[in-house]
Amino acid sequence: MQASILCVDGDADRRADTVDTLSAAIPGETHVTEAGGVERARTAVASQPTDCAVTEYDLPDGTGMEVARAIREHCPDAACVLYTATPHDEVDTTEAEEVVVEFVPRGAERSGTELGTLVESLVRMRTHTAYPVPADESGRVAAVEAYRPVADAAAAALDRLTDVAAEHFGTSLTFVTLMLEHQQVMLEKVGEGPPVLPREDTVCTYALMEDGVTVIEDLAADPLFAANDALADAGLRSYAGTKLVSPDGHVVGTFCVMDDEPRSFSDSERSVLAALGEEAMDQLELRRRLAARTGVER
Amino acid sequence: MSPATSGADGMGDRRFQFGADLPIGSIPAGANVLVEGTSVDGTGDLLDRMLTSGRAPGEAAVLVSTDGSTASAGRRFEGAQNVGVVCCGAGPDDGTGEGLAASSVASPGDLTGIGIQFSKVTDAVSVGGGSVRVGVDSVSTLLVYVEDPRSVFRFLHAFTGRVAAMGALGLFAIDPAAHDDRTLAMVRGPFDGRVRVRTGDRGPELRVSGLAGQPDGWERFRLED
Repeated sequence: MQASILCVDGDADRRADTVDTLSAAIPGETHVTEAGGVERARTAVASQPTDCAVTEYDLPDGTGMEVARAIREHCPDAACVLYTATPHDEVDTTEAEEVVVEFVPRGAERSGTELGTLVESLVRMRTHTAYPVPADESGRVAAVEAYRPVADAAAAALDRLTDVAAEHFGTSLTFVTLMLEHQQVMLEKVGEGPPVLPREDTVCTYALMEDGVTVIEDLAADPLFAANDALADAGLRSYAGTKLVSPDGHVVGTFCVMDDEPRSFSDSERSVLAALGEEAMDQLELRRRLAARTGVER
Repeated sequence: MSPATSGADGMGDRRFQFGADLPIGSIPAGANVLVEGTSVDGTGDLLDRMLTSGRAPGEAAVLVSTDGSTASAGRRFEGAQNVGVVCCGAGPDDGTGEGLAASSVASPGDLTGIGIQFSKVTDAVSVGGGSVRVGVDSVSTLLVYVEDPRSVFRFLHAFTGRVAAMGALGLFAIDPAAHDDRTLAMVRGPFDGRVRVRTGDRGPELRVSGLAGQPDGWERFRLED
């Protein structure tokens, strides 16, 4: 297991003890970054992927809740643990009611053991994500990584498919994606849209879990997406997406159309979208096989 | 058990029992169960009984009550031992039920606070590292109070993961009629099984799915007086 842990504490000796505890508890390659306060922690999570943050509550320049908020801003899938001697009732959650943290009291007889066991399980099970994860997520992510190297080689073909879809549907944004472990990456698109999005901000991460073509006629009226600022800021109001399913059954991405107005999609339109998605998957698979045979990702 | 919630090693074959009054077979340690139904059908009552019925000596129970006061929680669990409650929305003058380990957060929207107070109450009622049953009543209230359902899902994902890692039993109530299909599907994701509750021709009934060794079909159960 590979894990990137952020350990935040203003007391260097105590921080070192925590680092030792974590390093001993997590098997495999563990990279621990240390920070003495909120600002250093914020810089760390803004500049590198983090799987889990373990933070003291009382910090020289703020509190552990500010660290938790920085985690949710920059590495939203990461777990966050308050490891502190501060009593439960003295932790102020007023400005962080929805960040969600684990709490382990420091100083009890089994505190270190409890922390180590908890962090190991958090890293292994990824239980602080704000979206559902497919059952075989590790297999799915491995399948995605098989197609990433051939994305450039497939670009021209995918570009033609998104052009056809944009013309057919008349939508403001048409795109094909790979869904990475923590992010959605647009391989090709017609229209304005962010090339990379945190997975929790995407509609596609939910489409991964559904059968057939996923349609949301009005995102602003849908209980699951009405509060999604990323969609609102992009001016996107409707969605139709189909999954890209690899030959071995893993959902590696999506083929989607979105519009700046609420709209419906007929059965015929859904069939066309599904066919375009299948063709996009075939194009990626063709490039993957060619690369495997020739050793050249072209 | 789903990958999202499959727990830590070392739980062995430990299981939670529910006694002869409830038509529910034993459930393995580390499992999380969604109890689906309306309050009219007796869902809350069933959840309370699943929390406390058939407990082994020293087995603790902790309820996150999103609606009630600590005093009302005290009445719900009158006479029960090793029971704790985290009340959401209870004020400092709300009082505590007799014999109850109680704590509170200001609002059901304080998901972070709920998790922290849950840690506190669990420490208070756990006996020698023994087993714990955890209840949340209800997820529907959380979805009403929290504007972004993604935050509720993060809370559920984290909470069920903690239950699994502890080798505890998680019991979460929800009113399925109050939510759209996609939200309901998202909520169901981290759970290992479901107990559906309804009022049949002969009274309240329940049906367990997703868990091995359970009765097949709808089973009658008796509501508490």
